[in-house]
Amino acid sequence: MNSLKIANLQASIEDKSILHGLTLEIPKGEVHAIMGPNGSGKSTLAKVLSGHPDYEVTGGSADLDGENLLGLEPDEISKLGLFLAFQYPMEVPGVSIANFIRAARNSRLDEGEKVKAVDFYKELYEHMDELGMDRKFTSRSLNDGFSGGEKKRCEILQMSMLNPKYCILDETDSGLDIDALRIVSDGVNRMRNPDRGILVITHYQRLLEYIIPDFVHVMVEGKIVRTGGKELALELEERGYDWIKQEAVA
Amino acid sequence: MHTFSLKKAESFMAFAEGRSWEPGWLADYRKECWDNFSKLSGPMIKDERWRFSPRSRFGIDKIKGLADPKLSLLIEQHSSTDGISLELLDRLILDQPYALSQLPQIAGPDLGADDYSLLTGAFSETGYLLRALPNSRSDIPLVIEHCEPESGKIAFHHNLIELEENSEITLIEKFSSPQSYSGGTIANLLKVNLGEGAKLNRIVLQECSENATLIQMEHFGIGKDACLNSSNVHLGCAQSRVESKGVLKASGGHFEYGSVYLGDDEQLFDQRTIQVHEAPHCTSNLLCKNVLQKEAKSIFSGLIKVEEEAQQTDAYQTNRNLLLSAEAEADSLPGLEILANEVKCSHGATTSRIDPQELFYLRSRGVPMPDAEKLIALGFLRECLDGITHEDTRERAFQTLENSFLK
Repeated sequence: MNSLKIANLQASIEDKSILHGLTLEIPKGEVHAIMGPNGSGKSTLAKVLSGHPDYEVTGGSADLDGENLLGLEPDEISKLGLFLAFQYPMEVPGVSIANFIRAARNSRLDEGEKVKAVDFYKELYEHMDELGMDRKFTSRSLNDGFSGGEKKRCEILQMSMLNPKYCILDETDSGLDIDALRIVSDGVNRMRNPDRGILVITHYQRLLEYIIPDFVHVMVEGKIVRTGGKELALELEERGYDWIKQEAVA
Repeated sequence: MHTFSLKKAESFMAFAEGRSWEPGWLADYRKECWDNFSKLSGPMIKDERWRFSPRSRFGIDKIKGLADPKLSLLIEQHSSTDGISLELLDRLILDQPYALSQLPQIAGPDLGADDYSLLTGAFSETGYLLRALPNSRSDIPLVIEHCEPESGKIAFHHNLIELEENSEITLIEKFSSPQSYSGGTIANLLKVNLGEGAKLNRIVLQECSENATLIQMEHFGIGKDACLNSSNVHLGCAQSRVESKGVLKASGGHFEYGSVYLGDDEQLFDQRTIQVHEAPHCTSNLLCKNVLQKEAKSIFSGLIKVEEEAQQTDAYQTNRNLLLSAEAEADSLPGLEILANEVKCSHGATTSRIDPQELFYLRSRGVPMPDAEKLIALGFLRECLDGITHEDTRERAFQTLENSFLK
């Protein structure tokens, strides 16, 4: 029950099949990494689990602590406790970070209840300080004109404020310089605890030097083809993906 | 006893007889307006100024009487500053019968609603006069309330603003229905004259009933180095027609105009604007944003006109529409007419729907669909209110917008 459990998941977009029977279980307290070449379906997995309307699930199952995620609306999935940190966070002009996170927090309360502004801002500022974000950011429009690093910090800020049971980080390292990578990784590491499962999707081993995974999975053509410890990431960095692709085909 | 009609000469005669105590110049003015109104030919089939507009929704036939002027215009916040006065015209005409006749004569915007403009001249029984002496400055916003009359009645308001050199005022104009009337009409004619270096920040908050009709006609004359900043929030009315004309008469003038319309059900918002650059080295910037739900419809027609003498003009005009339903409709008619050769002018119009990827992003944080749409729409409109320099007023305007959307 205490896991994000994906079994034989198949999904397609516009009749193009992307996930071909993916199986993966992330128990609470563990950090798993998925690595894989471009086009292997890593981001599709993240979007399908989050309920993106463009994807069609054609088979398999995905359960969060025993509750079926497939077919739920994105906001329902979020409220069950799944958080997706986007590879390319959307820019939403005119919607301030603070108002957005507040709306997200309010959506978790009973009808008519609202978070107290004083408590909310206190908590928000604490998390912003940890992420080295200027407090002026609260009134800035969500991701509007942000640098790559600012966008990713903003994702981690949302993640900390929403306190999810499971986090999926989709290529969070893309577009980050070393300093930003460290800050963002520290943010993720602070969230590691026995009650939370984390899935890190990445292209490069570099991120996994900062967020050290318990397990590394390799994804090729919509399936997990190999699973290992953190040393698998190093091997991939050294040897590339071709040998694994060949093994998968063979 | 005849039945009242704005079109009948006998109705005007009876009205004029009832106001025989007024000074002669005013009686003459009313008569002249009435005569010109009666000479207007009916609506022409191809009047560009009414393109896309279902004009019958603004018809004067439905008007059965005049509103009580004592209830239709109120001053909510007077001036407490020396040199600045805000008065109601009905009082002023009693106290100083000739004061008004000595003010500079300004025409209406002349953007299509000639009938309502002339009828306002003929029938208005109230209006406000806002005057500021040179170098006077009010720290608190002055507040006027235009009140929707009972169903079938019309309130004609004829207003004048005269700001002398280097004076500065923030004015909030509310349009609302405090007596909970529904189905009344307000015809509001505003003429503004800004002297050298004068600054007017004007905020319009329109929250009339869902059955009201508003015809707003405004003419802003902007003098040397003067600045007019008008921010408009329109939420209510079954139909509204807003005609705004900004005229930059001398160098260094600036005209800033922002408007947001939030339409629901079958609301119709018909907006016509013109930015006239008569003098060199002036700037103007107009940004109109509409969010339309259900079967709401908006029409935006705007023209930037740069006269031959107006070199070094910077003029911008933008209309953006966000449609939240398949039935909502936005028509846009942006235009440029440039006679000078060293100018920077641009206009743009876009109509779009909410980006599904933005929606997914917000929903992936737990925000349900309707709330996510509202957040995005409010964000879309917010930019137009950022021009309100007075902070409390800006927050108040945004709050009004937010409350209307989230109710």
